[in-house]
Amino acid sequence: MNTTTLKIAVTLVAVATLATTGCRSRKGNNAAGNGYDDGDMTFQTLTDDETGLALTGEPFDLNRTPATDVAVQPVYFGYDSFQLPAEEVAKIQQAADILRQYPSYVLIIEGHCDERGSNEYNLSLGEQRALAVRNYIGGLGIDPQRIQSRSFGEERPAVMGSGEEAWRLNRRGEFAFYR
Amino acid sequence: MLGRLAKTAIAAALFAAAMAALPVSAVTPFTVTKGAGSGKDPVSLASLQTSGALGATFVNVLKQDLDRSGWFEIATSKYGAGIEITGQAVQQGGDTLATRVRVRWNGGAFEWGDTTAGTREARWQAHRLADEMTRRIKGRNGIAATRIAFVSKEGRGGAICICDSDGAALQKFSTEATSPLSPSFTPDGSKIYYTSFSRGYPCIFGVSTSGGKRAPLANFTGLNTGGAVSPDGKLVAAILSHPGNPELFVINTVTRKATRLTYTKRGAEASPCWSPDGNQIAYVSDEGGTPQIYVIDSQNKNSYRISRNGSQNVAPSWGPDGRIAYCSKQGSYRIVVQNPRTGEAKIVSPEGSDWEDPSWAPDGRHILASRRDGRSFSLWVLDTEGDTPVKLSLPNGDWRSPDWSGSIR
Repeated sequence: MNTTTLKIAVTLVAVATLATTGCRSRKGNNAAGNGYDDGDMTFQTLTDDETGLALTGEPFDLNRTPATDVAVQPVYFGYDSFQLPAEEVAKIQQAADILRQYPSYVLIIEGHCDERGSNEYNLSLGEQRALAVRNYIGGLGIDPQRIQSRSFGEERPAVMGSGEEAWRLNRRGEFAFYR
Repeated sequence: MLGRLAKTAIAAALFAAAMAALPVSAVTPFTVTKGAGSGKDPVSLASLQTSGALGATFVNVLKQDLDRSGWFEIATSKYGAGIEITGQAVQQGGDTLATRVRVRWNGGAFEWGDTTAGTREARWQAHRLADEMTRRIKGRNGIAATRIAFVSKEGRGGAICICDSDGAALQKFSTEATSPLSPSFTPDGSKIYYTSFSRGYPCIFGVSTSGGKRAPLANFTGLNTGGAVSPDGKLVAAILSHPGNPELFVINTVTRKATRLTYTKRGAEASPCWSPDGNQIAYVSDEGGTPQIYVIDSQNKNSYRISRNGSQNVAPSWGPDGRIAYCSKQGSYRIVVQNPRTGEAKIVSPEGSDWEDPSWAPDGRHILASRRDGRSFSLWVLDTEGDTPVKLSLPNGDWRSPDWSGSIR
């Protein structure tokens, strides 16, 4: 670890204000009725000068609607890996093409894992998978600020059940475009 | 939280006098009591007088607590029992339980009293007395007056649950469409932090164990998880991906200032937990290619890997005596206990099952862990000194990610 980089300021830059929009229902999850009132939940933003790849701004889906006119098949990953398999890269290029073709669109990449191993580590691994896709698209010349990540770890399998085929289909990155 | 009646003046005075007369001895790190399985101290309750349903509850729970402590066994006769509990636990009109007892053993004695209302509080009287005996007689923190938080997995969704150390008083207080993750108690047990997807993204929330509103602690864009409170209660270690990669941070709970500790562009961090002195954090990182256990100094940010065996090592828990328990993939998933200073490590889970998510009890002896039973998990108390694992008494369910609180008064 390079200790000189440790001094890089990590600054609370902005607290996005949602006060004007109040407490809105999002993604239907609260419809499950968890019994909580979160009040006005404002999203915090950190930046880090080092990478230039910092995630900034509010989550895209707060103020945007899903772009149902475009879709890309999920990217699949190897066991315990966030490396992009060569045969999956075409899908990512397809996603980059959509962002190029529709300059107002943005993308959330959802990272998922199979059920094996620690739930907590899988949450980080899912984020790493989503960010690997994000970084690749950024490398294709798309502004990384148009792309956000979201990990569900092993909590939202595409296929219920165990076994190699279910695990393979669950180790994935899904593309969610917003307009 | 416990809604206790004030103790009577007499009981309080007796308790205070006893505490002053017999100071609690310090807990010695790495003390191994030999032959725990065969060397338990017999306790006689034959001369303890009880009345009413609450008195009976108190004695039953006390017996179970003493048995579960690992240090004691219930004597069949008062003759030859090295430890004797005398006095009375009496139900007085309504639902009040008044307890005044004297505990005597070879080497000391103390008096203890409490007066409370209701069945739940009668159980907690027993929990507190059992822990007082463990402290006075064995010089160890007890495990009875504690609570356990965990995840109830329900199909694709799930909930955060809390129960007492013996599985009683099970409460489910947050059911969500995507299962919440990793509940973690504050040191005083008054609050838990956990990861929830209720806002679409994984965010860290804090909530009082007595209910009420929850509040977001970390809701940066990206990943927010792993909230673990420092021993002084002032900092929360967390995993945030805001910099463009999952990294370990420490968040000040008052100022909300987040300080970054790791810089691993090619690695993800997970599952932070604090050392007992609050100077170090153990966590998972895959910067070396596979997830392994690392320790980092929270001030100078120097880190080093401690896990040596196993293709994956995850989910560390730093015990009160300085040993770190974690889940190690060695064929199946095993629970390993390691002294981070000497590197000495041993497997404490039985063979033949997958064991995950260890969490130390405040006695530095027992570990709560989840055991895979087919597609679901159950919670078990493992003994690092060799007693047989004991299943936590819960209804049928899929119970995961347990966190054992510290002692609760």
